[in-house]
Amino acid sequence: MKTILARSLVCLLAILSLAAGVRAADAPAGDPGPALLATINRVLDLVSGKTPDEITASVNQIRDQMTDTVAIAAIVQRSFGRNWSKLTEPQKTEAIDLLGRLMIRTYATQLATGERPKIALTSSHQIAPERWEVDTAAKTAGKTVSVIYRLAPIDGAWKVYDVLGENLSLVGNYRQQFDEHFEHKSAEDLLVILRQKLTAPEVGPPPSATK
Amino acid sequence: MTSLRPPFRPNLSSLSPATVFWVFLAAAFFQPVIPSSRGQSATPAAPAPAPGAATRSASIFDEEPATLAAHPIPDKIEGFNRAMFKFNDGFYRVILRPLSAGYSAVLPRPIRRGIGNFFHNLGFPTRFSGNLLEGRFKGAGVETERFVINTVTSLGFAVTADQVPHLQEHPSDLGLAFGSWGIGHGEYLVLPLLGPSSIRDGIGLGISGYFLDPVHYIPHWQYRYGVSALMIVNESPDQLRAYDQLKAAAVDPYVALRDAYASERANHNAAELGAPVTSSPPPPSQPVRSAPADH
Repeated sequence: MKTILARSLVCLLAILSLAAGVRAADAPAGDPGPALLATINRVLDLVSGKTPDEITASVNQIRDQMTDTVAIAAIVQRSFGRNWSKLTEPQKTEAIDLLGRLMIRTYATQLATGERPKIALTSSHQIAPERWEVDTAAKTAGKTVSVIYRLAPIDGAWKVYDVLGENLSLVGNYRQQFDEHFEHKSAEDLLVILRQKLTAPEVGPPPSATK
Repeated sequence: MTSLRPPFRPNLSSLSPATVFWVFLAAAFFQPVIPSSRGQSATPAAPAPAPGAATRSASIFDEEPATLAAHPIPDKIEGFNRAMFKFNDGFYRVILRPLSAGYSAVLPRPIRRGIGNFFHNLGFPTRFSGNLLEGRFKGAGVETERFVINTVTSLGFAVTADQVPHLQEHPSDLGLAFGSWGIGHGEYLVLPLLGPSSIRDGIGLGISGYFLDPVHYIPHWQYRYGVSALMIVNESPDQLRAYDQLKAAAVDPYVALRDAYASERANHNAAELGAPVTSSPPPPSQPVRSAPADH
């Protein structure tokens, strides 16, 4: 994906996005499954067996590993759904930052305390002209869980815009929460909650629970 | 129902720790990105096209909510449910967590897993009956084979049937069977200690707990409750871990768990799932949750 053509496309899209926002680009060629699997394994290499402090220090590395594969801004925006328009531009920027960091801190920490899972690519197929679905099986603690990644052409590459674990959509789950939140509360209230979540101490299982 | 059931076992047992773990493990890959020339812009997408005007270039922001999640379970008694959720949360934190910590410090994970397998094997009557009532006779047969193999080879402490390719588990219970008959959830219901459920699933749970749970047939109540307590505590390390993960990442843990429960149950019953994802908006005749076009 790091061809000259792709880079040119990214630059072009970046310029276009200034006026038009995020838009799906023409579908990149090729099956994104192997690249996604490689990325997942690189991230696992980064976090497996590390302490929460070490993971916190590795967040930038994780980010670098994922930039070409995951569209965090799109995920956050889709999670907000129709409520996205209720945020000001600075609030949108902060929401992307806070929600992303919340996810990283919570789950990378949990990941490091458990068994290193084994990931297998079960299928990878185009479900529509601009949709790709990569099905994986994650095996850990004697259990196998289906994890499906949905990708779309964003910034000239296939990027993850939603993840489904046993049919539970990450975006859908957050959207349910945000929809209910915005029925009675404001965007600023939501940002306050996110900030508080990030400043609260991490609550995790006792070390013995994962041994 | 006289036997004490493990906390959130009938609910979060299907919403396994591994499930929750992996949903959000994937989320761990989502790094915070401040929009830049390299990253993705956070600006809103273009407005959704009018119905019927979808083209192959439809934006990922155009998808209706129905493509994202299962149909929600009605929650008219939300006040009660939230209070019960809070009560359960306190119970897990104050009572169950210390017990769980001590238990997992004494018993290593492989032993806990073996005990868990044993109790799961005892759930065969419920899975068998559920499959049968759903008309999934093959599933009922497979569950029977699994029960026999696991019991004969290890008394149920190991899941040896997993080694046989065509004997993958066919989970079911009475609530799912009722669902397959077209009976809806009714209302969402948070049960004391047990966690998320619904009127329909709660009835199924009560019936199976009274008639199908072998623990219920243990003659002396002291032993019955003792075994039930062991089941609770044995599962608690993994269950609490999953619960912590969900709670830590959620803006509203109550809603997050409710949606996760609906999705997990709908996973078994296609009729309760949202519409399949497509690149086009659903046709006008397709029911879509009341919401303006998403951005």
